[in-house]
Amino acid sequence: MKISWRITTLLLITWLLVGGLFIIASAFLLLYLYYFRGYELVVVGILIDGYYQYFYEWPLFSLSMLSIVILANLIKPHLLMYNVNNEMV
Amino acid sequence: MKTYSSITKASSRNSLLKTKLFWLIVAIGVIILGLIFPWLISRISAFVLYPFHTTSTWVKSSDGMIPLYLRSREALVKEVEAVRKEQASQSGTQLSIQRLLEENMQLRALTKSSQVSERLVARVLDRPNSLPNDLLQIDQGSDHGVVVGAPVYNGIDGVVGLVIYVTETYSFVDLFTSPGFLSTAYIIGPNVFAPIEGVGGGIARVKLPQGVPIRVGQLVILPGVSSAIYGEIVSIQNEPTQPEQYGYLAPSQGINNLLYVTVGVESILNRESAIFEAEMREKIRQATTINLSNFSTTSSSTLGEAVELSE
Repeated sequence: MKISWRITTLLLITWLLVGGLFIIASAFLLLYLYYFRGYELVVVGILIDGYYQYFYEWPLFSLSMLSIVILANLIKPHLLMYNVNNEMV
Repeated sequence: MKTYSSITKASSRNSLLKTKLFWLIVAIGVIILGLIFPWLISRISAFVLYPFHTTSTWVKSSDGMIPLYLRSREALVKEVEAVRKEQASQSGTQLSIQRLLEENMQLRALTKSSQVSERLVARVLDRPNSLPNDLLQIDQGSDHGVVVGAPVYNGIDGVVGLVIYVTETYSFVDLFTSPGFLSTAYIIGPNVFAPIEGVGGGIARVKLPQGVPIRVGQLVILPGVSSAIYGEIVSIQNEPTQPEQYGYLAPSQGINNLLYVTVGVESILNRESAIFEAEMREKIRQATTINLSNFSTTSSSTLGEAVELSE
């Protein structure tokens, strides 16, 4: 059975966030957003806020994930590079 | 065909945008729902994230081989970091000591005082584990110039004890950590004199009244000699109900590791007060005696009277 890198990385990010290893998780998060669109990170953010019971105060993870995903998707088209054959790198 | 294609692309983009907008609204809706019913989201999260929570707890607190290895590795990495920092700090301290030592030597050279007083080198024949009463036997005696009361050093300035018995060919050294050893020490830091007494087992202690700020690591020196250090305070016993506190110190090197020591050629023992007092009186008498030859007189009769008076 071949496990997709996308799912593995997503599970890893979730596990790191649950374990409280936020700095390592943020590194993987950036990597994930570089390769994928990352809409599912918003769901992860909502779940993490629920896990830490942040919905009783401010859902920091949800709002952060939403902002990061929107920002990444706005920035990414401007960072695309093309080679001599007009192929996207 | 071209027109159709551009229309299709535009329609596709609009559709994608609409989809994105829809999911954005859904996400915001869920967040608002979570703010309204936080318990609901918490329960869903607890259910969904249960495997993550379990594995995370397992890694953090389990006694299993892998988590234990990971934790001990992490602890070891932290310890290595701490040791490296300490080593760097110590190396800096060592440089400072070296600099101060050189400066001290230069100042001593300027004041024309020798760095180290004259000493004899002696080999340690016996140690406390084979001699009674915590003594040290050295292979130099009165034939070589050893006198009772001479300080015995380990290295340049580490005092080991004092010579208490001398024969022609060997001597015995009373360690400053021997039970019954009593002397005066000076503690650098609080800058106070304090009695030092041997406790035995390679430990001596200085006794101070309560309130004197002593700390671990402060140097305790032998005040009678220009550069002689007993050691540093390694432990403090301070009970607030007691009138005094104790600072315990140990020599820098274990006595059983000593092979060679150096012995000062002069005794540092105090002379008896009666002898000292008699010497002082004699000096004062000599200083106050009128030397008549220094006086110039006007007549021989006056000189004659003075001679008679002095007789």
